[in-house]
Amino acid sequence: MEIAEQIGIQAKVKPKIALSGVVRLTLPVVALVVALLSHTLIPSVQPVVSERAYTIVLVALLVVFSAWALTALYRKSSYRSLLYFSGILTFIFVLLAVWELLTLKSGTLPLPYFPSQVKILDALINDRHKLFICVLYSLRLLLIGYLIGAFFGLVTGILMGWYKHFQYWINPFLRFIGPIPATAWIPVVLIVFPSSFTASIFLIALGTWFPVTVMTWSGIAGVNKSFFEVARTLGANERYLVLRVAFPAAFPLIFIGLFMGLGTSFVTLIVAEMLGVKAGLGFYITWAQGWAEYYKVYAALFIMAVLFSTIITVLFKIRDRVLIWQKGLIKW
Amino acid sequence: MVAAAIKEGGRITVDGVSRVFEDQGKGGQPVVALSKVDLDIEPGQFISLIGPSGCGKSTLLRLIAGIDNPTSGEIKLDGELIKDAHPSRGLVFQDPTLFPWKNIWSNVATGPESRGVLKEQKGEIDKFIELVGLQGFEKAYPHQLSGGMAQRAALARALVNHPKVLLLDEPLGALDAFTRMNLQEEILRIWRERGTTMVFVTHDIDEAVYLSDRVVVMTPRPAQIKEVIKIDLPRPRVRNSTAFFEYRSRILESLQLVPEIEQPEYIV
Repeated sequence: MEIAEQIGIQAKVKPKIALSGVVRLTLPVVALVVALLSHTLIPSVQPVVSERAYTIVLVALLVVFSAWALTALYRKSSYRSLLYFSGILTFIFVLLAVWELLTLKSGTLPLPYFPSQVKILDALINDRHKLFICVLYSLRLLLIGYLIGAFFGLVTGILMGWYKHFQYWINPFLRFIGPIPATAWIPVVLIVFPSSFTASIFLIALGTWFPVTVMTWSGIAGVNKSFFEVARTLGANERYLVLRVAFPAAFPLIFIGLFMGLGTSFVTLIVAEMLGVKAGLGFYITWAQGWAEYYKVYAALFIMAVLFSTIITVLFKIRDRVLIWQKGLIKW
Repeated sequence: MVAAAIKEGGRITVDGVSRVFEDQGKGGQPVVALSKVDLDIEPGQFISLIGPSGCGKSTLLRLIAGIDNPTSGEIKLDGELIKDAHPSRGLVFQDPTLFPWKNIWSNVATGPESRGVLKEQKGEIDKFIELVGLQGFEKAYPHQLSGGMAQRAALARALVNHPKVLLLDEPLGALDAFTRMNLQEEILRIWRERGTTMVFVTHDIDEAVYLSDRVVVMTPRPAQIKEVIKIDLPRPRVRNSTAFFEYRSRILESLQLVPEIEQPEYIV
């Protein structure tokens, strides 16, 4: 079809493309208007504390996208970006409207398992203090555990990649014990460690340590030997060879280990909080589930999504800075 | 030029050097990469090692660099035994092996940086980038450079340490003919200016004749020096002169690459 547009038919189709362009620019706004109308005009059949907050959110979105569509008429960059994103944005707004119709406006989906977004927003607003505290607790556990695990993973991986002796002594344990999911250790760890906090730190660190170690080890072991030879003729000592040659050369693989470790640490964190720790987002979810308050579960899941994807974005941003020399990296 | 040669160049003495790789041949047989090699390279000389692949020329270069050790015999630089790699012996491979995570300036700065004298030698680094004609590309990363430019950067990285000996392992092997001749001139110019002792491994007979004071012809099985041919031609050398061709055919004969044709008995 694209080829057909490029040759002969181009002249006829051209005004139509411009028209479809205008349609695509206004589609998100149209979808938002539909969502807003169905939200305000159709009466609700389920109880919610307040419907105003969601109305405000929709109006705010409407203002933003109307403004974006207007600037798109004058500025080429905002025109291009809105044209690009309009499809997915429209889809999301339609999805929101449909979900509200299926839940709050008709009660088609059963409560308490499938609450409306209006109810979830309620929970986010009314329970914000508790959720905020939970986020802080989770972040503290995650950061301490992840950093410890990543640090020891890097050290073990470098030692294994650089010294044959370390490889010999550590490899069997790494291969045998490493694949066990960190969460499977919970019964043992809760007995060995003095508190559920330290036990969780250990579990998150353990789950992070394994992938970071394996990827760092294979990264260091796979470095082109000529790099070391050249560096040695330039006067590099062993310290320089390890830290300034092997480490940066292996960093593309090390980053994959850090990324995998981060994924594992999210899992370990939430499971640990659900089973032992008395604070945090995992704890909040179990607690809300106990009261059958599923809208709170979804509120916590939403926060988790925002939190964890932000953390991954930060990791990728760091990588983009460090690996500026590599070609063809995917953007996050 | 002579003064510079005395200042920078070093004398290499290779004395009965053998290198045997255990268990690397077929069925775990040891491979004799070099067998009792003797060679004396005077300070500031330009030496080419030439021979078919597997004749041990790269092995000899690696031994002189000190990144590998001989099984028996010894190699000395100015009377001092070579045991390990040292900045006094710079090394350039066919693959420029620039560090891809460093830009050109930092690549050239690797030597001073690794020896902890970067602060004092910042000016040196700029000077050598200019010497190889890469000014303006300091901030470029290796993957942004052409093969010839990358090899220039590799040369600057080795030269910034003021080596007494520069060891070049087919440095121009992967380049096109024009870039190749261009860099041959650059290498000669650097050699004239600095008087560094040059040991140049190559497959290319023309290149060896054009560049060298002496051409060392090596043979595989046994991996030994067959002949050392002194190239007695004035510089700059003319690539299509009769004398040049004579040296060329002498090396070809020495490498046994010329079939023995029966001479016709009469000439029309």
